[in-house]
Amino acid sequence: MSNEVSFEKDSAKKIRVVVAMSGGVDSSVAAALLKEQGYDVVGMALQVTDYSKYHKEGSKGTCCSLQDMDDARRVAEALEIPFYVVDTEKTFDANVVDYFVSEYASGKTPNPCVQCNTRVKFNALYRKAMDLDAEYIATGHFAKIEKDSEQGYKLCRGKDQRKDQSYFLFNLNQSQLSKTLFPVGDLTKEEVRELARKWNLPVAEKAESQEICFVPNNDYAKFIEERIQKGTVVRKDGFIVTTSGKLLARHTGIHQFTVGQRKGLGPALQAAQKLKINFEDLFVVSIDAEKNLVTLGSAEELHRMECRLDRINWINDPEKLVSSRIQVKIRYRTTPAEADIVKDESGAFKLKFVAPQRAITPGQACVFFQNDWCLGGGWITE
Amino acid sequence: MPYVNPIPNGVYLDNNATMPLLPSVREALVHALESPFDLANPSSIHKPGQRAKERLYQAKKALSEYLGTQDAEQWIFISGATEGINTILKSFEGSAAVAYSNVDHSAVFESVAKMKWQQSFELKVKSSGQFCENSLSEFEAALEAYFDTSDQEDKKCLLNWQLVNNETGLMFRLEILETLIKKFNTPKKQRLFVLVDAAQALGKVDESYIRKAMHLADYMVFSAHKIGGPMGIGALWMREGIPFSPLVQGGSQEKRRRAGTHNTLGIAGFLAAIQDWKKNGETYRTHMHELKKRALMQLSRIEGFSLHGDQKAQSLSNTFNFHFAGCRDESLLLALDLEGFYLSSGSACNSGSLKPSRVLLNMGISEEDALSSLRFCIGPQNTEEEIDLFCERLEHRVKHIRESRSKWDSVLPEMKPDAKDVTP
Repeated sequence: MSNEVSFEKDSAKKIRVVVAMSGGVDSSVAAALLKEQGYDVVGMALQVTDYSKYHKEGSKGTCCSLQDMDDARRVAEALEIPFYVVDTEKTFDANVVDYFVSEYASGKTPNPCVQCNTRVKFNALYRKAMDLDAEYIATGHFAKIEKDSEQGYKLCRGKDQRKDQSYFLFNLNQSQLSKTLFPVGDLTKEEVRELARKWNLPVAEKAESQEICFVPNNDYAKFIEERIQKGTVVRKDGFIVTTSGKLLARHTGIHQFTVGQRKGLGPALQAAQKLKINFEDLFVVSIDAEKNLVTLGSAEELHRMECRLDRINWINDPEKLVSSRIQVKIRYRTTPAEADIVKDESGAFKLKFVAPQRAITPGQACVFFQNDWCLGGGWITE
Repeated sequence: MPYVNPIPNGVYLDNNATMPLLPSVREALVHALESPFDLANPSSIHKPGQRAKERLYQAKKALSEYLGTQDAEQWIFISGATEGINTILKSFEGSAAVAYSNVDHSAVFESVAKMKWQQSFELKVKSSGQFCENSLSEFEAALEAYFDTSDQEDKKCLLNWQLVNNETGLMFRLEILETLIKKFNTPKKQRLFVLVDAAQALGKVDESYIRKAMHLADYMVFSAHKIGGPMGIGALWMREGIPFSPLVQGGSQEKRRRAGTHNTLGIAGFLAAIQDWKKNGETYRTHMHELKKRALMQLSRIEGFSLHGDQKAQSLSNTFNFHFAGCRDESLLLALDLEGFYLSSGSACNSGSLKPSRVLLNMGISEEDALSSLRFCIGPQNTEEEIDLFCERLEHRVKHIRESRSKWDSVLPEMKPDAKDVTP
C-alpha cells in the first residue's frame, strides 16, 4: 500500500498573486491574464452577505451572489487555478451595511463600494495574500498603477475612460498600491470581452452588474425601511419646504431623499402646483438631518461653487503638487470638473470650482485628478 | 488490483468526508461493469433480473453476517445515511417527540428543526464532547413528564444516537443509551425508539461495538462511501413491527419500503467494501491508529496545539480535531490545500465559504478557534511518509501564518482596523 508523494516544485518558483474573483468578466480576465503572464494565481471571492436568504425570498441574485460565486469557480476551474470563497460577512456588515444605512438615515448619499474597497475588500485580500505567501493581490478594476521615482506609486485612470474605476480606489495608500496589480487597466472593456471569448471563459457574454451587491433588487429604500422596523436606525420624518420657506408636504423619512432628486416628490409637487410655484423646476437641494427638513429648489439653486470635504486621503504627497488646480469627480458618473483645492482658516480642505456644479451631494466621495493621475479624494460634507 | 492514489501529488487526509475507493471495490465495480447481466433491473422477472436480485440478497446477507443481524430482510438499500435519517424522522414527525444532541450531523440537526414534533429535546455536550450531566438529567425528567401527561395516549419519542461524531471522532458512552432504554421501555411497551447514526462508525470501529449498539437500536443507518465504497449507496437497518413510512414511494422495491430502481452498481461496490473490511478491518484500524498516534506525537510538540474533546474517552481510530492558537481563520486550511494537503474544517456554506463548525462551537470552542480548526482523518491508504510530511509542513505553515499576522500589523499599519472595524 505504497503512496509516493511527489510535489510539483515549479509553482514554488513563480510569484504568487491572490486575485479577487467576483464571477464577472473583468476579474475573470484579470485572473487569466496573470496566469498567462506566468504568475502562480490563486482565485478568491469574498462573500459579504448571506445570499441564500435572498434566494429564499425569491429575488434575483445581485453582484457576488451565489450564481456569481459559481461562475467564478467555473472560471477558476477553466484556468486550472485554486479558488476559495472567504467569508467577510461580519466585517462587511459592520463597515459597509451599517455605514450605508446610517448615512441614508442621516440624509446623506453613501458610496458603499468605496467603503467596501477601503475597509473590507483590500484588507481581507492582503491578509490572505500574506498568509498564503503571495507577493501581490490583484483585482479586475479598470485602473493603473505607475511607479514614479518622485511620487512613489501613482494610481492612474484605466485605459478605457468610460469604464475607469480609479474613483472607487481613491482611499488606497502607498503600501497597498505597492502590493496591488490591476491586470485589465491597460485594456478597454471591449478588449476584455474579446480576451474572455478568445480564452473561452464561461462568463465571456455575461452582463454587467451595476447594483449594490447587498441590497436585494436594488431597492435600498425598502432595505432601510427593514432596518428601521428592526429598530437599528431611527425613522426621521419631517417636512418638505421650499427654499423660501413655504411648507409643501410631510415626508416619512429623510432616507428617501438625495440631493438632486426629482422623482418621488409627488405630494410636494402637487402642493407646489397649488401654490403656483413652477413645479417642473423643483429638485431636492438640501437635506437637514437635524431638523429632518427636505428643501426643494430650482435647478439654479442646486448649483454650488464650493464644497467642503473631510477624511481626505492623499495617495501621493500633496505638498509636491505643482498646481492647486485639479479636476474633481463629485460622483462616479460625471465628467471631472476644474477646481482649486485650498485650505480654509481651520486647515480643512475646501474645493473652489471654476464653474458652478450641480447637485453636490453630501456623503458622496469626491476624487481628485490631474489628467490621468488620481491624487486621492475625500468625502463631501456640505 | 494495485492501490491507485486518487489524488496524485497530494496527501488526502479527509477520509471522514469520503474515503477513496478501496482497491477491492474498484475491482468489483469494474467486474460488475464488464458483466452487464449483473446490472439488470432486480425487479425484472427475467433471468438477468433474477440474477441481479440474487446479488442484492447476497449483499444484504453480507451486511447481516458482518454485523450479526438475524434477517437479511431487515436491511433496506438507500442512497446513504442522510436519506435513512430523513426516512426515520419523517416516520415519526408530528406524532412523536424527538431527542437529539447539538453535535449531531446536520442531516439530523437541520431536518429536525424543519419538522413538527410533539416535543423536541436537544441534548447539550460539554467541552469534553460528552453529554452535559445537567442536560441529560433534564432530558430524562422532561421525557418522563412527557410520557406521563396522558397515559391513555400512545406516546412515542424518537431518539437519535450518533455512534461516532464525524468531526471529532468522539463517541458517547453506550451505557447512557442502555440506561435510557431500560428506564423508558418495558418488554411490553416500547415508548423510546432509537435511531443510531452509524455513518462514521462502520469499519472504523470494531464490529463488536457496532453489534452492541445494534442491540439497543431500532433503526441504524450507514453510507458505503465512508468505508471506501461508492457514493450514493447506503443501508438502513430496522427491526420489524415498528413505525415506518417510506420516504420514497411509487414502487414495490424493498417490500415497498423504498421505491426506485436499485443502484446495482453501488450495491456491488458496497458488498465488496463490506467483504474487505470484514477481512481486513482489524489491520486497517491498527494501521490508522498507528498513524494517528504518530501524527499526534509530532503535532503536540508544536506550540499552541490544542486538541478538541476529551481524548481519554472512546474515540475513532482515525480521527482527531484540533487548532493552533493564533491562527484565527481558515488561512491554515487554504495554505495546506495550496501545498497539496487535503483536509476539512467546519462546513462549507452554499457559497463555498467556510463557517465555523457548529459541533465545535457547541463544545464551547471560540468562533476564531473553530474557524481555524482542522479535522484530521486517516484512511487505510495513508502512509507514515505522508503523515511525517504533513506534520512538518503544518508546523511551517502555522509559524508562517503567525508571522504574517504580526507583519500585517507592522508593515501595513494604515490598514489596521479602526474603531468601527471588526477583524474578519
